[in-house]
Amino acid sequence: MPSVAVVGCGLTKFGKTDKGLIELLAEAGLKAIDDAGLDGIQFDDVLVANMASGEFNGLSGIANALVGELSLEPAAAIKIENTSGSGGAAVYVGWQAIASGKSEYVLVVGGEKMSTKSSGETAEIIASLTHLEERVHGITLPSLAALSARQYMQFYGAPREALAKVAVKNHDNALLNPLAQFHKKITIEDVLNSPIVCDPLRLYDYCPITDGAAAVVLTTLENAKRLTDNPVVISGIGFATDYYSIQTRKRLDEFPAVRRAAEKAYRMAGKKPSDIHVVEVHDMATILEILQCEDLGFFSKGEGWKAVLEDKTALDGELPVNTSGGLKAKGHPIGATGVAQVAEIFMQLQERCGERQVDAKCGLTCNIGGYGNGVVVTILEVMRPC
Amino acid sequence: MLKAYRCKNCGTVFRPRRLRCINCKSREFEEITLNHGKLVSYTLIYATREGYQAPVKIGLAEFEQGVKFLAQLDCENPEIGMEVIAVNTVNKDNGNNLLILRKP
Ligand SMILES: [Zn+2]
Repeated sequence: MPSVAVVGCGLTKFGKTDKGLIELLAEAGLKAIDDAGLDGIQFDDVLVANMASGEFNGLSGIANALVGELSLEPAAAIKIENTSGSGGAAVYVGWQAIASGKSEYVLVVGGEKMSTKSSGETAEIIASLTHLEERVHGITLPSLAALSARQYMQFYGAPREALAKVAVKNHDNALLNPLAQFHKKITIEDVLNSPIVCDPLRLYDYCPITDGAAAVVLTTLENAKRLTDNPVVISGIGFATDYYSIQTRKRLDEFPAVRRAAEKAYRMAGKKPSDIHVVEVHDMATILEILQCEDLGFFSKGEGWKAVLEDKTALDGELPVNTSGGLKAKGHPIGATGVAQVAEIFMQLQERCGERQVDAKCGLTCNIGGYGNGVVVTILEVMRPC
Repeated sequence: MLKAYRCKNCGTVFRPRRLRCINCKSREFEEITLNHGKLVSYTLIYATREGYQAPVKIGLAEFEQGVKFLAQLDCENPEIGMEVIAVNTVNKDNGNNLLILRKP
């Protein structure tokens, strides 16, 4: 089975833009192709991660549209949808395509253009991913994070400030990421004084509505060695689902699918949590970063909030988390996120992150679809010549 | 009435309904009624979806045999651990019948 390498990445600026979805996908895709130095290569597969091009943009067939924009015919073109885990799912499928030997060059592009709709309409579109028996009560995705936050704080005695600190840290990191949506330093007081979205969580606990796209190029390690001096391989990848209905789960302050996807990825890579040097997790809300860091095995259950207060997850901490600024401050163009996470770890491992660069040879991404439903965990490692 | 499903093969109780048992994949169930719940978590939604009036109160309650119910919560000062029941109401936002959580 061929080892699968990442050999290039490209991202658009994240935020609100006048550019259309296809334009964003094409911009990120072309940047990744150029970054890989593969302008003349015929790609086998073009995988486009996106949740709701129909609802946000009135578009279908977006993978074919992208192939057309970039003259990638006759590559296979497939849209991959796993809600906010679409990007991770597309990387998973791209990994399978190359590992199977079927494909040699795969372009994975994720993107979402969300600013076309009002926040109420956006909440409605996103809530369409929930179980109908729960949706009829008026739940939103942010409200599920609030249920998790209250249960976690009550059960483990976590202070509200610890959740706010996640937002402060991720805004600090985003200050060093030129492509991030927010370039604004905030304080714990700012978070605690921002408008309530879903009690006990407030506006600054949540990721914003974002337009943007991200892309990575996957190929075999053999090819990667010819293209670069320090190839980065996907040494572990795992995908796991959990109960579609939230009320079927045992607790809301844990994500069993994160644990299961991570177990698969760790086992495949022959790694344990202490081998990981840098992490991108799915901080749709501040509480989610804490829960995932626990379920990924970096901190004991109920202790993740202490790590945040002790700055262990800060840029200069023992395990930097969300160096890109995370969904919280880099932004969350739904389909782009899982791809952008892999791109950030790829750039960290290739020491291309400028002011936010950390010392890392092995990194991990955790991308969540639904509310903890379809989770993809990816482990990336740099293969420096010995 | 809040319903749950007990698997005729392995006895596992779950809800909402699915075609196969969550534990053993058997396809035969009997309906049971759940009566007593305790509030596990709750939230007040201020950033509501189109057509819902803020704040939408949502509760998650655990009923008999650990079975949970996520629903609108009609109660002034909710507290984790308080007793709740499921009652039928007409939804004020759209006129539909809705089973919600309330104090006994
Ligand atoms: Zn059964």
